[in-house]
Order: sequence, then C-alpha cells, then structure tokens
Amino acid sequence: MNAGTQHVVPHGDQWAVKGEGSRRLTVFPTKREAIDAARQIAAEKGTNLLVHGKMGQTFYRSDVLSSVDEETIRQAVRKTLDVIAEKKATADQHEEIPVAVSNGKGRPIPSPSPAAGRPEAVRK
Amino acid sequence: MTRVPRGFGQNVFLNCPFDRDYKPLFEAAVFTIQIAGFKPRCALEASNASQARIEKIIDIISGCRFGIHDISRTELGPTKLPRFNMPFELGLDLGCSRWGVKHLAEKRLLILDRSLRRFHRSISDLAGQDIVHHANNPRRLVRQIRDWLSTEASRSSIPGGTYIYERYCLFRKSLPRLSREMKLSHRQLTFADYSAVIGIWLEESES
Repeated sequence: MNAGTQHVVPHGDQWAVKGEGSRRLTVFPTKREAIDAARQIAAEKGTNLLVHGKMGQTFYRSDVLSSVDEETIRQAVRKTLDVIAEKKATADQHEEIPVAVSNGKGRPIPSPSPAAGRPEAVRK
Repeated sequence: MTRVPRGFGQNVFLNCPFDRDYKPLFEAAVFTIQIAGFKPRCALEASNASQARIEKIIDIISGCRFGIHDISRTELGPTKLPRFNMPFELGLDLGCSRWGVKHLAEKRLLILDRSLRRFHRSISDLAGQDIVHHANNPRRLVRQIRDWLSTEASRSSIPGGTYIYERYCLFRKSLPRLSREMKLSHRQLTFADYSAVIGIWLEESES
C-alpha cells in the first residue's frame, strides 16, 4: 500500500474515508459521498484511491489505459446503478404481501389490492 | 539480482481462447479475478506494437505469480491444425516456474479443461497435474477460479463463488445500458475498457 492512499472503508451502516497511516476517519452516510470525498483528497494530494467492499476486501482497480476516462465510466456506472435501484424499489413495492387484519368480529378484513397506493412513475 | 516485477503477487495470467464462443467464460473469468482483488493479464493487453507477440507473452508470464490456463479448446481450427497457443503458453509458464529466477518458483498454475480426463489422451505429460473442469459453464468456472485463488493466495477475504456469480450476473445485466451511457457497444468493448468498467462498477456497487 502506498503512503497517503485514501481508503474508502465500511463503517457500520455507513462509509468512511481514511488516509493510509492515519487514525482519523471521516464518516459519510453513503458510499458514493465517501468515494467523491476520497477522490478529491487523493487528487489534491496526488495520492491513490482504494475503495473496499462491504467485507473490507479490496478489488483490483484497473491501471490499464482505457479508451474511456475514469470520470465518464464512473458517471455511467452511477446512472446505471440508480436505474437498477429504482426498478428494484418499484418491484419490491408490488411484491408486498397484504396482511389480513381482523375486524374485531373474528373475520378478516379484505386486504387492499396491490394496485392501490402504487406511486406514479417518475417521468424524467 | 533480478527485481520482482511490480504487482507480481497480484497478477494473474489468463491463457484462454479469445473467440466469440469462449467469450462468456473469458468475461466471467476476468470479473472473478478482479472481484477477488487480483489483476487479470492476457495477450489482449495493448503493448508496444513493435514487440513480437511471443515476447509480449513472455513478459506477461514472467510478471504474474498466478497463471490460469484453459486447454479446453485445442481442436482443429479453420486451418486444419490444432490450436497450439494455449498448450504452448502453458508450457512457457511451467518452464518459467521451474527454471526462472527465485521469485518465479512461487508461481502457481491452474489448468482448466471442459471435462475430466479429456486431456489424458492428448497431453499425457500433464498426468499427475491437478486439472479442474468447468463443463463450459461460467458459474462453475467462477467457483473454480475463486476457490483456487483463495487457496493459493491464502486470502480469506475473497467472497464465495455463489456470491461472485450473482454479482457477475448483475454486472452482465447492466453492461448494455452502461455501455450505451459511455457511447460504446457492450459487444465490442476492448479488454482494457472491460477491465476498467468492472473495477469502477465493483467500487460503486458494493454499498
């Protein structure tokens, strides 16, 4: 590991930035914010960035010259992940299992249909 | 005294076909190597155009502690000759580990085939070597590579094979959209582009 490398590490339910050899941790609510902060520090100091996984493991970060710059790839990845997360959130809402609740007379109240309360699709 | 090449302990030489039929296995292998924290290297790397291919291969082999050699595609090609490259490069790697300078003795090789005992008929010199088979199945290949790297590199932090395969499937599913965002075709990504995309996707997606 190189001196001054900025590490993005898991910190409970959040993420933190830690400089190589430093005890100081700067905590962020999301990994994306931690990565952006770490990239900025690494750029200012001329050091490297190392992003860890949820288990603390490291991945290989390509140093092979790509035809696309890192910023373009990162923005494309983020957009794609946001779309996937949005689709998953919508799918999860539709899969909610309705729970029958008793009406006090020993009979279950019919649960609302899955279509009720469905949020309107966000137009972009 | 020969210096240990930079990244030697992290580099994995991937010796396999680069044709369309093998591509699903190749792409799964590259992803697995990277998520495990290693650097995949192969003959598709860009290099000095004046360097003969054999010299490039030798440079890569001597710079990698690990080598994965898939000899499952050695049948006759359009020229009616067997595809010699994979067994040839396996031989180079074996020789390198046996006769090379000190750090090369630490080399570790994984030999893959598509079925068990198929190689016995054609490469009997390999009798006694551990060979694993992937049955042309990317899921199986992912597990084989993961388990081997975890053992040979003595790393306990590598995620399990099932987890890696699930992550790979998610990555593959997102690759067409991702490529469109970069104004590229996902079917025509170069090795360098593919590797770069995997690296950043892994960084951003494990949250």
